[in-house]
Amino acid sequence: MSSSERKIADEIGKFVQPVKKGREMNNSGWIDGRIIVSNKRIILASNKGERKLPLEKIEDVGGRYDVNQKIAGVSDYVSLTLNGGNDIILLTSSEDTENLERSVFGAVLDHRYVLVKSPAVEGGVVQDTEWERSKLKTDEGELALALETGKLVSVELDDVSAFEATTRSVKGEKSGVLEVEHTSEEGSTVETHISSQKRIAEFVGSYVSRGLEETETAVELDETQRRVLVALYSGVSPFDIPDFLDKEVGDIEEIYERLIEAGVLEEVRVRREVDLTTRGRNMASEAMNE
Amino acid sequence: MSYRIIVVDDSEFMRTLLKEILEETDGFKVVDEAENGVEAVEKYEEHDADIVMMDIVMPIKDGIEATQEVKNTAESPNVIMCTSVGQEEKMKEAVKAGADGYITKPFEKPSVVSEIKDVVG
Repeated sequence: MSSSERKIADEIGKFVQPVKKGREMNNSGWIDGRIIVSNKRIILASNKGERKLPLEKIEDVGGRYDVNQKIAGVSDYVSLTLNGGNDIILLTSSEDTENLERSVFGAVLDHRYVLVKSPAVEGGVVQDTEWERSKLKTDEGELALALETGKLVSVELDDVSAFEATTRSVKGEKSGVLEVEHTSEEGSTVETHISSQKRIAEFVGSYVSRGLEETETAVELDETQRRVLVALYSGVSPFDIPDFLDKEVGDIEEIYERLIEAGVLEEVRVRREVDLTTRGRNMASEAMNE
Repeated sequence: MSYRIIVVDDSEFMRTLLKEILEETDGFKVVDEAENGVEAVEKYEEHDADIVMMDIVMPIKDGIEATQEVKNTAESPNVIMCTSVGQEEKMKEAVKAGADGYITKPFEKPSVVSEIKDVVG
């Protein structure tokens, strides 16, 4: 490696190319080898030789390409798209494929400069925020944006609820923009807008959409559970929900339990309902008469 | 000054939700509610409200027709449509009928308050 090249990951794993020059390779099989990710390329080394993939040739990460049973049998792999989708290479690590995938995203995205508007929207209200130059950093479960002004915006992947690629005016020019809806540290729903060159935007989109796939769980809700969610969304206090919906506290607590287990709610604080003991009543009576 | 508001929605739950948001906000007073467009017009005339929060799809008379009727009165209140995702075409009709603004379900308090304040200036 040259002095400017830095190793990011070095793993034992397998790789395969299920799509080559636009054709599905139905007979392809996994090759054992070593996978090295640096800030400039990905090297796939096996006893058949080495293959070097410059990072700038990788157009996207993600997707399933189960062209045969051998490949479909692996539940977790990283797919690299090259040459407009005409070449697809799959990687899997013997230890931690998720970590390998994060390394690939990090190799492409870390320390890249993008334009960011944050928050662009907060609580449904468009904010008067300016576009700022910002440095990207991928971390476990997070996309961190270090703005030029010193502000740090953290997009927790688990808190991403939606994202859309659109075109907007950015510093006077029409540009591609990723609009990412997520929960801020303060707990409100915000949109962070990210603008960059097309390839980087696609990578950012693929990276944040990993969080979206995890949040899109199919949870069957009955009418009362739906109303609980809508009421909470609209700002009704969780402690007021039983009265608001004319339900017993116990019934609502059970709903909260179920929705917490389903990952739809998170417990912030447990409050206790209390009552006076006989001793307590006596002490209160004495206090009143003092 | 307190703006007098009528909440119109065929869902009692949505009316209660919107009332909860509005009544927690200084300067807003919910004076009545209605569950369809016919009642909406009647209640507006009864209270001479400043603002009508109008659902779009309702039985008997929908929000678009009710909006047209209240906007054609001499006082012409501010009408804010309560729309859902996928009702873009209905919203265009509502604007033609004279709607002054809109909020999207599920409601978020900051956006409800902001939209009303924008509409009443």
